[in-house]
Amino acid sequence: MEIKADEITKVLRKQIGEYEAGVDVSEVGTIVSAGDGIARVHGLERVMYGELVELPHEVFGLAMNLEEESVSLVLFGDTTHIKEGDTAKRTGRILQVPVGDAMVGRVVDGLGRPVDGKGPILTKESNPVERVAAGVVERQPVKEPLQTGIKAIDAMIPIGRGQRELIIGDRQTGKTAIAVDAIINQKGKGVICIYVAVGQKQSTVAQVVRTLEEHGAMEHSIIVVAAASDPASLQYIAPYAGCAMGEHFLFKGGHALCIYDDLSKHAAAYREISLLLRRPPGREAYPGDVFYLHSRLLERAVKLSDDQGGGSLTAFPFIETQAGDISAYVPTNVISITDGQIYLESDLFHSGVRPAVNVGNSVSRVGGSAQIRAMRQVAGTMRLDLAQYREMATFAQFGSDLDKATQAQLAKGERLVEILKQDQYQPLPVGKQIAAIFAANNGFLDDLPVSECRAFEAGLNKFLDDRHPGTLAAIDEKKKLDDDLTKELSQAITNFKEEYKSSKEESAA
Amino acid sequence: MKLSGEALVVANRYAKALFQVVLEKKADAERIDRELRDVSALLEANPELDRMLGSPAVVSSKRIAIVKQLFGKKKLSRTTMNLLEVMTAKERMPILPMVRTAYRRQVDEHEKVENAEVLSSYVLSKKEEKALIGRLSEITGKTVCAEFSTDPELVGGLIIKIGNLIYDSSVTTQLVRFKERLLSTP
Repeated sequence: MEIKADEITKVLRKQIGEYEAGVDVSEVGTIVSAGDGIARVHGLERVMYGELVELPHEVFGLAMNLEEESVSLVLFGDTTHIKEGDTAKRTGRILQVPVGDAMVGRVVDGLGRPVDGKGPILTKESNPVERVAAGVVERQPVKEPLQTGIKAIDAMIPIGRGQRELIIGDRQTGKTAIAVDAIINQKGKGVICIYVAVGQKQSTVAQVVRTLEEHGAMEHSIIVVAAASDPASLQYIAPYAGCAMGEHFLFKGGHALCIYDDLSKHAAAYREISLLLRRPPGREAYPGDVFYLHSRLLERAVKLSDDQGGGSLTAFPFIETQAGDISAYVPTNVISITDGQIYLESDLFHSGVRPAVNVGNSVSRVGGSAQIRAMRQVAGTMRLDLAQYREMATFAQFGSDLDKATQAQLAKGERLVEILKQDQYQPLPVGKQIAAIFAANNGFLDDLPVSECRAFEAGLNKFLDDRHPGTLAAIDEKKKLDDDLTKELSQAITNFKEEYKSSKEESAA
Repeated sequence: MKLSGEALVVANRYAKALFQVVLEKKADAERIDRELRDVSALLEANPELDRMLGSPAVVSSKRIAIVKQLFGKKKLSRTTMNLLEVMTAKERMPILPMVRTAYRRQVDEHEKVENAEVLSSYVLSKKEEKALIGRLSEITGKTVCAEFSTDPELVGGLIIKIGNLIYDSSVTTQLVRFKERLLSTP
């Protein structure tokens, strides 16, 4: 790009012409003590709660405790040079982060500064980090599905746009994998995904970013990183910052998905800050407002009414449990705030059921309205079937003499469990999910060995893509299985089954 | 003692109480301020004494006796003496300088006096100083006591500090702001 000299002069002349030799009035205070990322300041009499305060060396502080004689600031940035006697200056601003379309595809820290080395983010807009959630009048019930592309979830624990669905489980049970699959599956669906990593290892975050890039999913994603090595202040603010970035799309009538990975570490970061601020510790040493900490964040997930533009912000908070203990303080809090939870279990994970969703303990309080009708038709009885299967399976372990009906139920259950297994990073479109579940429900798999179910499903998917793309398109379009479509689908599966069997016999011969 | 938020609160309470006594007894507020300054200076010059008076290891009656002996001959006012004795008994002597500052603030507030620090790039003439003080009194609505100093790095203009407020019209700051504005213009 060519820059003309006179243009520069023009800009400068304008700037200088408009320039007023004003007086800078600022309110200041003196740092009384500093340490552990906290500074106590004397003065700053008129500072607001949550206001940004400027300290030397480009460090900023957030006013979090306003006391009679001093103000406590939580510091962002390198605090090693802050010392007693330094001047702290009011800015009159509350904490804001840059937002906008330019943020998409970027990796930023808790204050919205880029950390991916791709240069500055050119955006002029910003949103306050803390904002009161939309009220009753501005909302409408959740009604559109947010497809995660994971069969077990979309079929039995459907999630709608604007819902808050907790994903809870021990470490190493595939929580992040669900997030990544869900993000990948939003490709081309007009949902901007914001993945907020709180207290994660930098290496884990780098891996998520790389996976998303490989699957072309960074084009609709923003990653907010407050890694384990970042100060507690940044970890505390990051989820709110991510939410503020999502709200930008929400208020434009768009759709956003915020994933907070994970809120246990967020609560721990807040506990650290609170203890340093000498707020009284409560249960498990968390401060009294740890419930409000998460409720005010998750309340911001919303499906706006049509008058407000009809946008939505879906939230996936994550909670890491210790040895499956969901009755600890923070898990119970977040369970009570959210509209349902997906419970992942390490036993299931290790026995090869992946995603390791415990269907019995997982619920979605939004339910059927977050599913397309066709999915409701095929998956409606699935929960019950699986529950009966599990009951029967424990019972059947003790005896071998089973009647026909029981054996049939066990066989069906085994095949249902098998068909709900899914590889990582391979989200399925809803049409194929329906086809697979339809096949399992209607006995197409009953005469196949259990170990072949997944191979059969993979073959079926390919077959439908190649020979019956019309059927899949029709499901997507009609969103329900009428008689014609049911017949068409049965026919297609029957055809494939014959083909599958003959190819098996050939390879055997 | 480390300058902590807690110490500030305590110092303020002592100062408030002291000032109320001064008002009640119609004592000479300025004299007490001067006395407190002298005692603070003395303690600063003798850190061992300071430490001993604030130490719980020494029996309180002994500490008070020492204070009486030390300051009794200095013709301190009764109020100051009482303050010193109370503070010694409560092991609060180390925060005396803070009490003095807080007390000074109380007195100033009561007399409607505001202290200002004025930093300029060159030495102001008496006339300029007077005009400035007049204008500052107008803004604050109080009598302004100003301390003047110079710093050639300002290039021009003034930096005035009154209480918690800083009025900065120095050329250096203006240039910094100008630079920020040019850089942020897209």
